[in-house]
Amino acid sequence: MKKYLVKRILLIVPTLLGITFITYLMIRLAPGDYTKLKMGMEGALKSGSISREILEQEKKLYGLDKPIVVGYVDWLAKSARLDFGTSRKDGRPVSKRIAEALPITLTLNIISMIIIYIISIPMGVVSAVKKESAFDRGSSLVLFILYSLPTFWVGLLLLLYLGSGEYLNLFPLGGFRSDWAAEAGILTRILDVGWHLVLPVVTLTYGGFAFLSRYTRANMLEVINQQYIMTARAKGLAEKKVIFVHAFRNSLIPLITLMATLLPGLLGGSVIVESIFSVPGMGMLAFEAILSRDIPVIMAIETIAALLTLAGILVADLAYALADPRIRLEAKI
Amino acid sequence: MLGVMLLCGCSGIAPELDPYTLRIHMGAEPGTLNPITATDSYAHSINLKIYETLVDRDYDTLDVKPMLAERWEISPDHLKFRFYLKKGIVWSDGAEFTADDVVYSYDRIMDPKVSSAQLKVYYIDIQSCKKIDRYTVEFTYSRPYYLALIFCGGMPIVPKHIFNNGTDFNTHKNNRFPIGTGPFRFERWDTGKNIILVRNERYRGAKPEIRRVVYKIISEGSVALQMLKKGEIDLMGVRDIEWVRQTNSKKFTDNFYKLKYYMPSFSYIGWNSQRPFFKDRRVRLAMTHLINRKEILGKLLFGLGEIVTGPFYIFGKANDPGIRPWPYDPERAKQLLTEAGWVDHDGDGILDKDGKKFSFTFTISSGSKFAERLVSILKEDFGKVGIEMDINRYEWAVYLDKIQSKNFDATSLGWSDPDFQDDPYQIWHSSQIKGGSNYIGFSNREADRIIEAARTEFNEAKRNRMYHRFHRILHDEQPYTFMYTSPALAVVSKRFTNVKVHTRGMNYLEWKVRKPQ
Amino acid sequence: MRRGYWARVWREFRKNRLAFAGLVFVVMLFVVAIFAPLLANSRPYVYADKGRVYFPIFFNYPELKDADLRRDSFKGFKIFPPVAYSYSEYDLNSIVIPPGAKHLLGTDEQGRDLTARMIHGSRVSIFIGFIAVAIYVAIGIVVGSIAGYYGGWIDMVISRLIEIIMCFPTFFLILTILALVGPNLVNVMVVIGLTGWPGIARIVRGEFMKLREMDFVVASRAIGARDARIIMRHILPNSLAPVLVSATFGIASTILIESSLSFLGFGVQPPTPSWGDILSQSRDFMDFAWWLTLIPGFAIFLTITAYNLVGEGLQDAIDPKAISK
Repeated sequence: MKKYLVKRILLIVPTLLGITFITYLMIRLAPGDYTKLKMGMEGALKSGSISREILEQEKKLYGLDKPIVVGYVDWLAKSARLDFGTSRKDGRPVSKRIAEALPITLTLNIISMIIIYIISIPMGVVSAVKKESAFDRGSSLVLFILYSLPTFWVGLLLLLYLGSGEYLNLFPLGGFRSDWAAEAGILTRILDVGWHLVLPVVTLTYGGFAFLSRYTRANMLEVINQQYIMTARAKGLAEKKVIFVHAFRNSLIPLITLMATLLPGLLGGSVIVESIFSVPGMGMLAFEAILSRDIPVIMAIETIAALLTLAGILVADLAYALADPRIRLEAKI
Repeated sequence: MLGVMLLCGCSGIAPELDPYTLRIHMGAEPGTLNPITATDSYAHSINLKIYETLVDRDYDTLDVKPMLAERWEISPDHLKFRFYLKKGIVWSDGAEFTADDVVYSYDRIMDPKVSSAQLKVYYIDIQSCKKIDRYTVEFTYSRPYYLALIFCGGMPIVPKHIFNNGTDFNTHKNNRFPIGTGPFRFERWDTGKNIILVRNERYRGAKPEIRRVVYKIISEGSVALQMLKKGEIDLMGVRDIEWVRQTNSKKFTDNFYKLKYYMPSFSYIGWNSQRPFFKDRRVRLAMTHLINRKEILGKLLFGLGEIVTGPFYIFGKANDPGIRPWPYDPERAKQLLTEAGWVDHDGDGILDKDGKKFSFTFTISSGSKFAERLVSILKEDFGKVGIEMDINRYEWAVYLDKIQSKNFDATSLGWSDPDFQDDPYQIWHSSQIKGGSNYIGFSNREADRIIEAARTEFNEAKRNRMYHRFHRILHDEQPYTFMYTSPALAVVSKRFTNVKVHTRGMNYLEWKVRKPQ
Repeated sequence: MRRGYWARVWREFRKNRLAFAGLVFVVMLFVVAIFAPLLANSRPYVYADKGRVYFPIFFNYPELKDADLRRDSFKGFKIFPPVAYSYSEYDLNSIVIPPGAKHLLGTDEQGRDLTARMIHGSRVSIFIGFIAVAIYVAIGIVVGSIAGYYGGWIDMVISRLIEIIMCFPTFFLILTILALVGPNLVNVMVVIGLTGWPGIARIVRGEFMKLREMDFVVASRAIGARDARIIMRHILPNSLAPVLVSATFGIASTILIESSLSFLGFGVQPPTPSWGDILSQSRDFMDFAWWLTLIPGFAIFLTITAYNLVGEGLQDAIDPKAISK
């Protein structure tokens, strides 16, 4: 077990190198660079009588004159010392920009995630147990309808009907906290943030139920049909016990795998939700950075996302083994 | 139920709105508020209230008038500009403003280590910027230019005592904590949320009645409009569809002014004249005849705008109002195309010439809904006369790359000239084809001559006559199909009075606050 | 033997009426998508005038190029498709009009017929979902089963590869690659296909790791069955259930990804319609033009539901225990 862990953790290093290099390569190869954009944005393309010299100076300033490999090694050397450089947009350290955006996104997404899991897993289990029942059919219909509603549409409608005051005035029109809340007490501040979070969380969650509950249902059905469950039934165990102790535990495995794959998405946040609700989170940060070719920001976000994902995968693999003793770790590195 | 009550109780804590606070919508967050390195228009409009320049321009007449300089002298050869600074002006932290600040700012703009390429361009022709004494500076130009006074007098000026402390200029912490001499002073920046200014009590001039300005960052325009209606925003620009459909209720017009005004800007379709199709003037003219500008303006833009025939501000003197737009005339277009040799020889429904089909690509940037709708219509209309058109839409960075490397056939964009400079050099002089804004490759000897001569013509009337001739050449050559100039559409809360529109737009420094009854 | 197996699956599948209905719907969508130009077109199938017969949809007649044959002034014999509008034909005099006799499902912001756009839009939505997912499910199954079955160093290498691909936020990857190769339908499809497989691969790998220790697999190995046979016959069918759910949702989410890309301006090139694009264009009019939102939204819902019913039906049918019951 220990040997396995050490090996896996060591393997993260080459994987991370591969990921960051490919990312760097892609940004550098993508058409358009920060310098050109900066010139171009001045009154739409007013790059004017830019002399080559000025353009070259500017490129040098941002290290765009160096070959890709050299640029990558530079970045690597710096980030090895945990220096992610400065954002080209506002000249602030990248770490600071991420430190501002990350907590917002994590709060939003973790709450959404928990709600999705809490609601959809029981629904999936019940659907599987009462397969083909009215509940199974009805819930899947409702969840699919929710799944098909486009986020931007729901988000904007929620704001219009519940926030604008033209119909109801229950929630704020976006943002993460009120202006006045900075001076208020801690409880008021938490309440205020919670109040702001209601609509974005609803928008982020409503579409997520369908997949997870159907996924749980599929896994449960598969397990229910397995021999040992049948055996358990045959032995006369109470149905509830069969379902929750034996069947559910075994259908956990794919759910764990799923968690790991959901991690990068969690971090990336949702550009659309963040933009509709004016929440300055990671999604907007990453999206803007990509569009403006803000290399230090993109690289930092990618590195953090990769690290978290790798950790998630590792945890999933370990949990896998714990949930199912038949999987022997040492053999499967 | 309890939850709802709790929430309402929560909102009840919010303090009353201070009537002297103005809240303005911003669609995107600026990166920095350093006028030397900032590039976006939001930073520009905020800096306008914080920082000042040597000279100002009148909001209505556009005449040059004193700001930080009380007077100036121009040498007879138009090369030397000597500014005498007002004495006793202080930065908002109390330090005195002197000639050193001006020279320092010029040096930073031209410093290769400073990320200011977009500004450097305007100051290449300045040979030197010298301090004569504590309150006098002199700029020397290498060649005369009629806009020289506006350029050197409008140069952004930052405080030397703040920035000259040994840290990197591009990432200086005061880039996000500006200190200026203007009527407002920076207070706070909540990233992704607000930028807040307060009245500068040290300001020498008349103090504005508004005491506090909050710039609210809301990226989704339709949400911002709802906030405005709810009374959380006082001033914002709206889109044409919002202007026409969502701001006409009695409740709305009771509470808000709707202001529509024109600034110098125009949209156009640029034909890459280095491509075989559009090398021929007759083909470009035919394309213009194929575009039903009137109908598109009326239906897609709800009639908000005017058709333009050239690059100049339509209410300015450089524009020749005698030039009428080419009419929509597909028959004439077909005739011109036939004259140019584009005929459907092989009967496949597509025009061809020398074995080459008339099939081109229209490149647009994502983000412009109007461009998208426009090109869908053009594709259909061009198809009817046998011109095949593909549409390529790219994200802005890629789009710029394609345009700057001239890798396109036709595109649609707009130019704006917020400082009323009129000089067509950047866009139309043939020297600007390589690496400049003349990316469609317009080259005309007479036009070049006029542009050059006009730059050293200091008599405005004469210069405008030259520009009328230039306007005529563009009209005949149709390097662009000039489309529209669209108005700025703004809505402002009626909490304020004296809200006026000037040539240069609105100026909230002069607004009054309506006294509560 | 093999044939018998799939025939049995089909028999099982057909018993499930809902799943079968889903399949019928999906097939219908494919038919609509394939024959879209014949269903919605501004030209007639046949036009006969002055002793000449034209087939304007199928052949190009230069003499008819400009003619709008729908006008009454063209008196000859003519048969039009059910929807006599093309998807790109605009009419600035009938912008955003609600569903009615002239335009069955109304028009959009350029006065284009929504029925025609929905019919042609099905091509993008169906193909993008189906082909992209087919690509990634295929890759995912192959890669995942190799890794899960063999384990050891093969699994190690493949797992690292999976991790590398998984670590890229899909959306970012799509944006960057589209910037490199240019955005068009095929590229969007291929990019989603080439980046979506790690999820499937992980699931398959996990199932294989679990199943290969199972009694029946161990038993087949003991009697000397070949790897390929064990994989195909014993392990794969048993590990398909979660893959099918993933894949059917994959199709749906690809359709939604396309709509998000459209919302952000990275979707199909105009004037090509896609359901997602119609939806995202509708946001300017959402306060009054309900048809521009609800119709494409409903279409997406039906498609997703149909694919899911098919997926669940298949899953039940494949399950060997369900069959033996």
